[in-house]
Amino acid sequence: MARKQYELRAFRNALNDYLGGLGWTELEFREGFKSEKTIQVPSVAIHFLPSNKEELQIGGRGSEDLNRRLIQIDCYMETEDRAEAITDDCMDFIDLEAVLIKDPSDNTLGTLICKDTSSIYSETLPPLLTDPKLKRWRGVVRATLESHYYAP
Amino acid sequence: MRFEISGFEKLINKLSIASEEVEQAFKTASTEFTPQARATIAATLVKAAANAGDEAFPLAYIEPMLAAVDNIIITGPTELLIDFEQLGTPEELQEGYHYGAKIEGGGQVDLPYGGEPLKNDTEQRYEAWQRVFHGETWHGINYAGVWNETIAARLDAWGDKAPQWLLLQYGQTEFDPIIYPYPLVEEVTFDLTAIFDGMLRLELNLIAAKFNKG
Repeated sequence: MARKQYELRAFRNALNDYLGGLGWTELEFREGFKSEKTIQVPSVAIHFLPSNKEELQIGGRGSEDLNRRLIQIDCYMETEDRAEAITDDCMDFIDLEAVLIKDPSDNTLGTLICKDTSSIYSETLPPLLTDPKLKRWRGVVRATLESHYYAP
Repeated sequence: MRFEISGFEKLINKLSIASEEVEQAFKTASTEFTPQARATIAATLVKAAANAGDEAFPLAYIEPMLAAVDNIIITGPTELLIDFEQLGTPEELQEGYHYGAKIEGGGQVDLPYGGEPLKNDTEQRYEAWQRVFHGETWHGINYAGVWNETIAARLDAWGDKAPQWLLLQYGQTEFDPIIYPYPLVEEVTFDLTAIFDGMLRLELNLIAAKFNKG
């Protein structure tokens, strides 16, 4: 399993716990873009955006490793208010929480953290469809994080 | 969404230059910066459009988007902003939806779409839209050329704005053809901060060198 997938899973679990603690229940979580699942409401999709910029890969510090990660969270909700409310909570989560990156054996490999608060921003996009049964507002949160892997 | 090109205070303090000279250096750097900023933003938009592909993001969307770039670079006497909202907002993007769809009670949507209730359900409209997109004949109606007509109607409704940039920035993964999001804002901010930092540093160094010469 690649490091990015460890990070994605750790981020998802931590966000799920955080939002659950704030009363956001029954959210369906998705990882990545290639999910075959139809988008449900309410749901949260987490994506690590690809980047080919070398500048975004800050190399090793001694035997440690540090990477920049650009994350997008899509929150599909029933109403504009709920989309805005959950994006606010997601922004707080990114700003306040440090996520522990773990392997499948539960060993902690590092942390995923946002050091640049000004890189966190959000937008609420209106539904593409007008059908009340399929209507979904989309709150989008973007932020630049750093994944820091400890020296072995 | 506004990004300030800033963070030069340390550089300025380090060089201990008088505030009038700093202001002059900022002015010179920002004047020289604008054409470079325009070129950088345009190049990033083109890269993002290429990443989306011309099926999902029609080529006709690109030129008006590049023409709108000038609107987003805002320079003041002591500040430099890149205001992406000036390209277009989600509300403006929405004005390009549902071209030609039948309206409840008669008539059809002529852009800009103002939220009128639509007659047909989503499934029927999606089926019709597939015919439009592929230029097929359906229920005796030939949809050849209607997709291009839709694109032209959207561009006309958007005028000198270019809200289609939002499709590149945040993607559209709900329906085919899918557009994956692109780190447009992040790339532009990263590149322009480095460019402006270099320009301002050069200007300040020139002033310092002149001062040291006496």
